[in-house]
Amino acid sequence: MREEKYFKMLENRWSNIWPHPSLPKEPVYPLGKIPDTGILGEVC
Amino acid sequence: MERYAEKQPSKDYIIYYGKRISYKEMDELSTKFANYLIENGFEKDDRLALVLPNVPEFYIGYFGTLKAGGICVLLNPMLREMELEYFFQESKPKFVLTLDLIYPAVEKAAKKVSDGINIIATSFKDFLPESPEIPIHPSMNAFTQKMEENLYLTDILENASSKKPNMRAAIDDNATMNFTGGTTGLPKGVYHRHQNIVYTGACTYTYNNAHLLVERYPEQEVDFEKFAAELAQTEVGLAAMPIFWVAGNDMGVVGPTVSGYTVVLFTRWDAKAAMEAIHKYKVTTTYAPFDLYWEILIHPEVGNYDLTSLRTCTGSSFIKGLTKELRKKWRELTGTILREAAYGLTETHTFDTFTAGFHRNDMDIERAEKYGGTFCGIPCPGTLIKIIDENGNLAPLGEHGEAAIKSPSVVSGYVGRPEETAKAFKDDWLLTGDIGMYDEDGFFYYISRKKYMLKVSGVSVYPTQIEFFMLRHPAIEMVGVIGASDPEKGQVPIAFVKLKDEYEGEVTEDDLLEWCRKNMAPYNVPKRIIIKKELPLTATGKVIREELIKEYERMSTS
Repeated sequence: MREEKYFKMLENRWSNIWPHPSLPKEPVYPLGKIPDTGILGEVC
Repeated sequence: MERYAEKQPSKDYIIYYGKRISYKEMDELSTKFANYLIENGFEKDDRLALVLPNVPEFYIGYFGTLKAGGICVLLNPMLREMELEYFFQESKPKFVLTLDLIYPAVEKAAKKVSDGINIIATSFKDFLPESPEIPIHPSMNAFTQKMEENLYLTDILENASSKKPNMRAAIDDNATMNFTGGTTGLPKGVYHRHQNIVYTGACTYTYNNAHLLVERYPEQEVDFEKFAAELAQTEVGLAAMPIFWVAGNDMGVVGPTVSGYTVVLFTRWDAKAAMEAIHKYKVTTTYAPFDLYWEILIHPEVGNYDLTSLRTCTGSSFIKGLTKELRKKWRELTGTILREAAYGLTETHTFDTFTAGFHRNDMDIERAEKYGGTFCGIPCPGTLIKIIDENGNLAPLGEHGEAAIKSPSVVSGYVGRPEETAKAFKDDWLLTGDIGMYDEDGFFYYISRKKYMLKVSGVSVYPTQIEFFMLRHPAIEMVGVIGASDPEKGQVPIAFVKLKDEYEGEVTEDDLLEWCRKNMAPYNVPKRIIIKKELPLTATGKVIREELIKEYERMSTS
């Protein structure tokens, strides 16, 4: 299996078992943007 | 640290046996230390080694070094002179901050490496209150008389400027040097960047309390930012595990500092003192090996304390594993659940997965039992973990293989070790050397260390799996399994066992073997079981297999 397909398959499973709808799907940095990087998404 | 010092200046950052240090005070102390370093020739990317137990000075040294643009080398204060020499040689620090009691060993080791290493001393008494609110270990009363020729942290803090230093570390700069591989050959250093640590902190902030969302609002959408901020406001963490160790550091330094909560700092673990602290300071979050939760549960004075402030309790299955019985008893005592903390390793600053929210009906424990591994939940968003076979191909769900990881917190290699770096880091993936698996739903399990996988008559056998099962025997307190050569089977497992006190002399090696034969697959049954009074343990309580292997070799040749 190719890597892209492998992680797509896993992501589908993780979506199905995600523990709570309000839990963010990206880590939250409580002090806003991570310094010097703009947004956390950039480092994720 | 600076942001919270502005936002919540008077909030307690650390409570150390009753001594309270606010965010503002810690910010000022670490700034003063940074200024001292800079004024004394410390430059960007220079290293300062912390050889300290869990004391407030650790935080002053840690944040002072980062504010000065340097790299903090985190070392075990239990290291002896010869070992320290090795670590100083590897890390080449310009400064060392250490305890007066171990100053002589640190000084001798440093001098063997370079005449240019400056050593700064501190003492337990410098930050302990005159009348501790929580009982301290007798060893913490010890100190050495001040020597005129030595440098002392208290003098530095008294005289240094508290003006913000003219230095700013960038997110990509190296922040810490941690060592890994201590039980599998010589330790190797890794550099963690500020970014790695902030990402890990954001993951703990977001996911470590997720079970509370599930418990409190099972069917309800909530404003997560508000929910998390309110939790952080009232969060009080008990930091009783060594904070030089990466998992202890996440829970005792990184997590609190990113979230802005209070740390109740312990130099030494003690079950009674822990109960007193939880009761007195309304501790909400704890992390410890599961054995220590049992220590509290069976403590004769457990009924004297109110432990119901606890809401997030996590552990690691280093010696004793998480069981339904343990979770049930803990919930009865505290009202909250106990769960595995996460999967992780030094090279990733740990917390690569989260387990919160998967505890309903003990689903996590049942799956761990079913698959014979440690339930690690799912990877934190931003982290990718794949399972690969011996040829590097992706392994299907349900099959064991080596876990490879890619995330914002993975280091770039082993410092000064290009060959080992090339072996472990391939195409942006870190080959962890851990055997893991995903189940049919995508939950990740830690199975074993790769190098401890045995081939018994061609069957893959994992010592940690054998340990996992043997710990279910009521008489076994600790077990360490190693592999030994065997002319018939290739390899066979050998188990070293420590019995619970009440079973000593009551249970024999033959009894345990008989139990194993009854309860475990033939290839998992140890060829030999050796009962010992004590097993060799690392500072963090893991059984040191290398020592058991050496001991077995000695036994075989004598």
